[in-house]
This record gives sequence, structure tokens and C-alpha cells, in this order.
Amino acid sequence: MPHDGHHHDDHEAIEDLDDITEFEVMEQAIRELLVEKGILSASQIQAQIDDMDSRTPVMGQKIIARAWTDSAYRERLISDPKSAFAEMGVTRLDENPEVVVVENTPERHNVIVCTLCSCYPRVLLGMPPAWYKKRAYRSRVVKEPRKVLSEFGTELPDLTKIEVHDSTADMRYLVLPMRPAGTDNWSAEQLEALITRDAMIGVKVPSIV
Amino acid sequence: MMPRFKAGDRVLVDARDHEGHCRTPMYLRGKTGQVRKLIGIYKNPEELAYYKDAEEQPLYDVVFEWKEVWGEDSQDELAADIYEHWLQPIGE
Repeated sequence: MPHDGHHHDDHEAIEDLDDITEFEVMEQAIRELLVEKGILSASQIQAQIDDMDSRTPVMGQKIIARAWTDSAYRERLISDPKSAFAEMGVTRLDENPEVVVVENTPERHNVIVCTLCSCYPRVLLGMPPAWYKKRAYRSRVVKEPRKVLSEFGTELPDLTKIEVHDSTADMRYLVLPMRPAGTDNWSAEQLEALITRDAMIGVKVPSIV
Repeated sequence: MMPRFKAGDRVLVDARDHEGHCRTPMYLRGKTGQVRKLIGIYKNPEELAYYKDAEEQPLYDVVFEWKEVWGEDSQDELAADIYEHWLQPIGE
């Protein structure tokens, strides 16, 4: 490209300094201090970020699919979730909040929210979806859960009681959805594909139609 | 520390204000619920959040009827985890 005078490429700044929030400034300052003082190394911080980014709902899907096909495992999953997760190879359980497994039945459907922030069973499902953190979901699902669920395409029978769990404190919640009828001979992989992230939050139900 | 409540106990969530970090949602303050179970003993997050030497508090799984919270009839329920220092006993 000819350098005609001082004409520069017309491109947007990659990052506008004005867009950096107070929290980002604080995070950067604390991170730099921790590294400077030798409390954490930059590579330790990066390893933790990579670990979190690498988590996806896959582990949750595998755990639920096993619970659908192995009734002894299902009982362990409900009575002693931590060891049931460890059995499936979930690591770093001790560094993460405890997870409680709540089971859907024809009588009771569970849905999870954190009205105060965005508590979520990250150790099993990875980072929460954007809508889970939005005020609209957090404030509405505790007030009009049937309407919110119907916006996700989920219509529950009137006789099914909805229980909304607000993850207010040290526990995180994972929904154990009901296995759809007509999946008796399905492979683990086929079952896992039905068990979406949203089904494990309780805003959807696994369906084969 | 000995937990004050057990499964089945009716409890009232304090309606008081709290400045700073707190895990008791506003919409449940002043509402009556039922302890489903004692979850365990945890450090009080209201102090832990500020790196204070937090005291331990029993944490309960408390279930609230819809009508109690929102004033409307519904078979649906709300459940939240509430620390003991936010709960008062309700007459037997």
C-alpha cells in the first residue's frame, strides 16, 4: 500500500480505554499485585482460567446419562453427589462449591436460579449462559416460572409442582431430568445428546419429538 | 455449634436490613417457611466476603409456599438456602 502522506489505515481501536469498567481495573490491579508479591504466578492464574474455560456441560450430560441407565449410580448421585461425580472423573471438586442433585418426577419439576448473582454448578456445566445471569431471568423465574418455562418452549402439566431453587448460599444445584419414554434401547451417546444444559438447569425437559 | 432447627420446623426469615454482602434474598425476608433439612455448617458469608474471621453458621434448605411469598394461590414452591442467624422459630 502506497504511503501517500500521513494517511493511516481506517480501523477501529481494538480496545477503547473508556470502556474498561471499574471492576476490570480492580481485577487487573489485584492480579498484578498477586504476581508481583509472588503469591500467585501468571501461569497459575492462566491455568485456572483455562480449566474453567475448558469445562462444558459434557460432564453433566455423562453423569445424567449414567443415572438414567444405572439405578445404583442414580441413588449414589442423589445421596452422595460428590463421590458420584468423582467416580465419573470430575476433578477439582474440593475447590468448588458442593453440588446438590435434584430429581425431576411426574409430580415435581425443579428449576434453578441464583437471584442474587449467577451461582451455577460450574464444576459440572462450565460457565453459565448469558440469560442465566440476566436480571430478567433471575427476577421472573421466582415469580412466574410457568411463563418463563413456556418461553423456553417448556409446558408442564398443571398437576406437576414446580420447585424453584434459589442458589442463595454455599450449594449449587443440578437438575436430574426425567428420561423420555421411547429411549429404552438408546446408547449412552444418544442419551447424552438429549441432556442439554438447559435441561440440567430445569428450563427445558429432554424430549425425543 | 448445635443447630437450632431441624427438618419440619417452621421458621420466619428476619425482615431486617443488612448492609454489604448478604445471601438472604429480599423477597424472602419476613416470610415463613419450613426447614426441609440442615445442609451443614458454613462460615458466615457476610463476614467471609470481607476476609473477616467469619463465625460458623448452620445452613438450612428452607421451602416456602407460593402464597406466603407472592400472595397468590399456586401449587408451586420456592426453596432457598438460609443461614441460621436469619431465622426465627415460629410457635409450635
